[in-house]
Amino acid sequence: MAKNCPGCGAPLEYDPGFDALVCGSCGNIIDPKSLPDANDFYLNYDPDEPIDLETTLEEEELSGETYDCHIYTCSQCGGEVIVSGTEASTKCIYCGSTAVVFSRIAKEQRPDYILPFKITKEEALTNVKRKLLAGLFVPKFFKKAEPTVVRGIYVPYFLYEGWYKDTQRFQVGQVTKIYDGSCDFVDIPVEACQALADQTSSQLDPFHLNEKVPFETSYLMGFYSNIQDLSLRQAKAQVQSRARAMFDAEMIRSINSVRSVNRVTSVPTSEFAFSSYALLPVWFITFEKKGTPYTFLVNGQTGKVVGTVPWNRALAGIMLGGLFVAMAGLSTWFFIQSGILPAALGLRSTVRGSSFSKLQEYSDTGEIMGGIGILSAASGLFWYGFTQFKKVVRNLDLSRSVVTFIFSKKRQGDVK
Amino acid sequence: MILVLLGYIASIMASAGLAFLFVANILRISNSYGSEGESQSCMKKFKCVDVDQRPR
Repeated sequence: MAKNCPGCGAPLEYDPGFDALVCGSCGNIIDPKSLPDANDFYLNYDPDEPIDLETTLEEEELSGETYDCHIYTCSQCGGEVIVSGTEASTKCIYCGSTAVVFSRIAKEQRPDYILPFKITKEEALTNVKRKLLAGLFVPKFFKKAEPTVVRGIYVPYFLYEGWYKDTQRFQVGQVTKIYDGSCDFVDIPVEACQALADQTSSQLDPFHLNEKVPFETSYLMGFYSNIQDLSLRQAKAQVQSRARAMFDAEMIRSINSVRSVNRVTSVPTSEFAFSSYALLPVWFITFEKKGTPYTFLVNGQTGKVVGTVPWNRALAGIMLGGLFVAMAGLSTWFFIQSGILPAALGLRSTVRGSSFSKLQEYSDTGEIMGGIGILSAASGLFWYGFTQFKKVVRNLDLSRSVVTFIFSKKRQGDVK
Repeated sequence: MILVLLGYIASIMASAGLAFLFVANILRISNSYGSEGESQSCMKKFKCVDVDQRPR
């Protein structure tokens, strides 16, 4: 399904910078809408010519239900990707392996809409590099490395519409209040490719879906697309879950109280229907360190970067130790300078200032209780800080390369 | 003075907790990119009414 330049015949590629098809050979710039799929058939069709496979596939394309594409399969992880035009897939975009072979020509479900790439490859790379350079705990390797794989991929999404109603009881401070909420949903996107982890694909949001256009294969030139492999039943469950999360967040926001707000009960009703199938643009940028791929995703419309980088443990340890020593040193200095600590330890008979005499007033009344209270509060702060640190470290380790890791695990049959 | 000694130990523990908290936040901002998307653009005609204040 390659599109050729009407001027010189070289293959065309869609360029997000021009929002048009560009010929790499003569520089010709062509509006993708001026080369719709139907025109290919009518310009080239000869009823006296014997029908071959390519022509048969073009006829399928005219029905508007399917379109032909080349599927490449990675023999390492089993990942499959659709490649358009004349570009060959030489490296797996999921696991980085070079063991990628052409698999077959297939007829895939024709999308209703497509959101063309707005961010160019260079802009996506710049966004990722800017994040890496600004990261304090990002290892030096990532700040200097060049990516091994950069691919623009159209990810399949199902779009749903519907309505949601809920009567929720809240505890607002000491008062119980009941709120009735309702809203309509239009174009809720649900990612329809199981290759991407749900967490990763939801972090790519938002896509401005009002800019989607009717699907034309011209927009695919120079890019890959994922295969849609999610059932509508699975997608509907995700829609309801996403709608509920958005609705609940909006209810809390609209209550807008300075007091604490806790949801007590919720009685939702909703109805959603599949509205359309669309391809949304994502850049996959992979760095490789000692054979391990680290993939970043960039929203191909807004440029938002999603991903996780391993952290420089030595630097984090130095900062942690340095901060602790500085703060502990400061409080120790305060206790010694004011004379409170030396006096308490019996090392000094007199104390500068009146603070110690005030403390002596309290020393006979609830001294131990007060001390335990202060120690408990400090222990709580210590425990909170420590658990937050552990949580961040655990999340970093879990989500690192989650896109490729989960995909590879699934394709190798180790589904959990 | 038990109170003073407990207070001193508490200040040391609080210093450690604050150090962990500070480094954890910097680590999260520095090494993890992308937060849950704000897809509220797909919500239309949202209404939230306090049942007690609804006109009868």
